[in-house]
Amino acid sequence: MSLLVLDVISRAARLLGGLASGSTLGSDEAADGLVAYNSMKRAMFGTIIGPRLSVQPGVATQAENGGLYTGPAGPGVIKAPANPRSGWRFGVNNACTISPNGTVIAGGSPNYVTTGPQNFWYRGDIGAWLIEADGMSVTEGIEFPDELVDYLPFMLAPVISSEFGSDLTPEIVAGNAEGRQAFARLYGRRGRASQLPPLGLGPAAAPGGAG
Amino acid sequence: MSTARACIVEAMKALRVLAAGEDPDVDELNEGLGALQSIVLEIHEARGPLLEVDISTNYTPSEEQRLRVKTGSNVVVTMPVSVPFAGAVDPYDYGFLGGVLSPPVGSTQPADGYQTRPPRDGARIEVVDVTHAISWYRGDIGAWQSALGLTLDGELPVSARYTSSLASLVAERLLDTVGSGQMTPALATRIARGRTALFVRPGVWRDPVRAEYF
Repeated sequence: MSLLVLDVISRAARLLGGLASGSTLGSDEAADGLVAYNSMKRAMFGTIIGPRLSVQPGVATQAENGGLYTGPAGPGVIKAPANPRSGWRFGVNNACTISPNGTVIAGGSPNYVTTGPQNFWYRGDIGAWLIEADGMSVTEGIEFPDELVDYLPFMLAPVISSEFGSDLTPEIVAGNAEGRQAFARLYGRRGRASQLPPLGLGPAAAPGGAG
Repeated sequence: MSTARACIVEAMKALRVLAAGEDPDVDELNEGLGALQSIVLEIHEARGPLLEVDISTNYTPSEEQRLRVKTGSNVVVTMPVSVPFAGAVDPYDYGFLGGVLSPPVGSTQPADGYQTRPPRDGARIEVVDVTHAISWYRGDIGAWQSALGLTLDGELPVSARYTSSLASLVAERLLDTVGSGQMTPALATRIARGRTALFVRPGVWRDPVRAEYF
């Protein structure tokens, strides 16, 4: 089930009761929804998708997971992290050339040239480094695998609920939490032991619902 | 491969920071590499003094020597692939005859005619010049390995069989910064074992101490 960004926004609006079945979003609502979707996506990187990026000193030729680097200028390259796992991230803060280091980056296997600061995350199921970028249009596809896309409307609904003037139903709250867990399981690092929840999900809720 | 990265990953798994199948991020790798370098220098210091040798021309040292390059000299230091069989003077044995003058007990040197042997595993050579260099000999790969400026994917300066011991000491260093700060009995045991393996010199032959007053 591959949804477009517009489908996710529309479904989130329907979950909130702001859009009737068979109706379509107006262009203004879709534009607002796109901003909300991008905002939500940005907030996912470094929390439930991979580690936060940490600035590394000097000029680097080898990136590691979680590093924000200055790549070599001119003919030199900076290599993407070796043997990446799902959800790994790295970034560069300048115009430089990135070697995919045996994988695919930004849709191709040759070296990728950045024109400025850019961050990348690794999608393991297709073995590719993807650029962390905002969606430019509601008619774009979604860069996450299908098994996660279904959660996105539930995750977007809390973001846009105030714009639609709606309260969150228990189903939306539960779907949002379940979606965050699903992302973190796939793209976050597991905790100190395999049986603990992934990092990024925060401490377990206290008894009685607090926390 | 006995790399710093492998050592750090093992340390973090010992601390239960990493689940099976996970890898550290860059901040944790940096912390681990810093700890690893400190420990290697600590071991270097703990293994005792080196024989001080001043050089001003090209030189091939023996093991356990610290070469002090005289100011203004431009020298080439060639790391030895073999050293005298009887070994160098033991700096601890002040006042007693060193092993240079007599073959060690049990040596077959007089019979088989061997005059040299490869450096011992863990043997050290230090060069003090404008830049500073410390090299340890790895018996398992038969090569001198730098003990300064460790890199994540470079080989460790200790034999591969000590990787786990080194990892336990790294885990001890990272316990408070990366780990939970709680020492488990299993980790404490492991650290003690690693410390023994790396700080004690097992199997090092030593002349029986005997007075030579007359």
